[in-house]
Amino acid sequence: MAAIRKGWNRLFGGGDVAADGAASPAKGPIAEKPQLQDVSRQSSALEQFFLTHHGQAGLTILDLGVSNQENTDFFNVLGHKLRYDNFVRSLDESFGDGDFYANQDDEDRIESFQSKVLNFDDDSLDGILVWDSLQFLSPAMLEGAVSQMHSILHKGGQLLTVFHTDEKLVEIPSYSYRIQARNRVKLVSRTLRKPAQYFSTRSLEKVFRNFDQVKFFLTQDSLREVIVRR
Amino acid sequence: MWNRRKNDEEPMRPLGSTPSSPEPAREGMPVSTMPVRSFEPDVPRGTATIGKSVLIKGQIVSKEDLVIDGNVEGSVEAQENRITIGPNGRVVANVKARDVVVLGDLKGNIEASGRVEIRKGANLIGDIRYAKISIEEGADLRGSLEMIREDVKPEPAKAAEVAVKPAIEKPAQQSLGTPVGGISSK
Repeated sequence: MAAIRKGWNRLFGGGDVAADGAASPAKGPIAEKPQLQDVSRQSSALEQFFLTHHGQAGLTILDLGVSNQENTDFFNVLGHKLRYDNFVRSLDESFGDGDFYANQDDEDRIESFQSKVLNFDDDSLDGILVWDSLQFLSPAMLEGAVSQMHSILHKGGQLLTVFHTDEKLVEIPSYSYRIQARNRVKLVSRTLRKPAQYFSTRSLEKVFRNFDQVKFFLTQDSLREVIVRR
Repeated sequence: MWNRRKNDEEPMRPLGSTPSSPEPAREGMPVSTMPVRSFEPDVPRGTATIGKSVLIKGQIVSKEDLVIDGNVEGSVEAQENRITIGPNGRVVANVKARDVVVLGDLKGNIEASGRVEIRKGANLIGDIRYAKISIEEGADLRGSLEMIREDVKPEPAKAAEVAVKPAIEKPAQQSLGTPVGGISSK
């Protein structure tokens, strides 16, 4: 277990994605209040995720979303081992009282958060389903989290994440993602949250610059699905 | 979170326990094995219950179904029976049983040859090995899920790793029905 990166904040400080102007802080007037509703739709990123692992069994996949029956059953059938981390809940537990983003500068809180999530051996995971949780990390936290994900993924392992694209919204819907088929996902609405920042394609490429490959898929519901390969 | 049902009607009270009693803790307080009224309407007779005012530190081995609605630290085993961690249950232990139902808090690993049920309101941090599993909406689970497949035997290296892992602290053997200390009333 010595390889586990305890206190992965040593990776912090590598850069502020918002600082170069490519990513923009979340601000501006609310054009309209987004509706919270469940959506079932095709997911090209998910299809890509499973295409890579086609025919394989016994993989270890980390799901950073809320534990649920659908995803558990899906990976059971495929013969994979699934891990849940409940990333957003850990975020709320560590930073949720008071100013959510200001609290992400507090070292004690950061330490508390890091003790709860992404504590795996290096190269120990075959895939990470991050879903939409990275949008709620401050730039410095985001940098550290992505670096940690890079470390715990196998070479060739994939990461699937989702970003909202509508910059007019101050708050965006947060979902629980339920896999229905290799290319289909159900988005179960949870709450509206203020994102830390909005991302352009270029800024996302910078966020994942240490990975070998980044692919983007735009969806009709104003989401940008991203598949990243280490 | 733990007090979320504080004002609810007390779901069960095993005979012999006095949860609201101001009396001091008594050494050797018995754990009831009498049938009890429970939050589960279908709890069969012959179910042992650890009431919500009971704290047990050590190893529990049960040969009957067991409901834990109190505090347990150590390890819990009921190889051929069901272990239920009630909504007031607070367990820091590895749990091994045929079936495991979690409604309360569990920090530890589960190994179940049958079914694991993670109910709404459950908080579980640990790894689960199971033949079948159900997860209700509103459960918080953090850890790995691995299905036990009949045609796959555990790798020797992994089995050895599990055997070496200590369960909190080296506990004293304790079977329900013959309590041998380590039990205190809150």
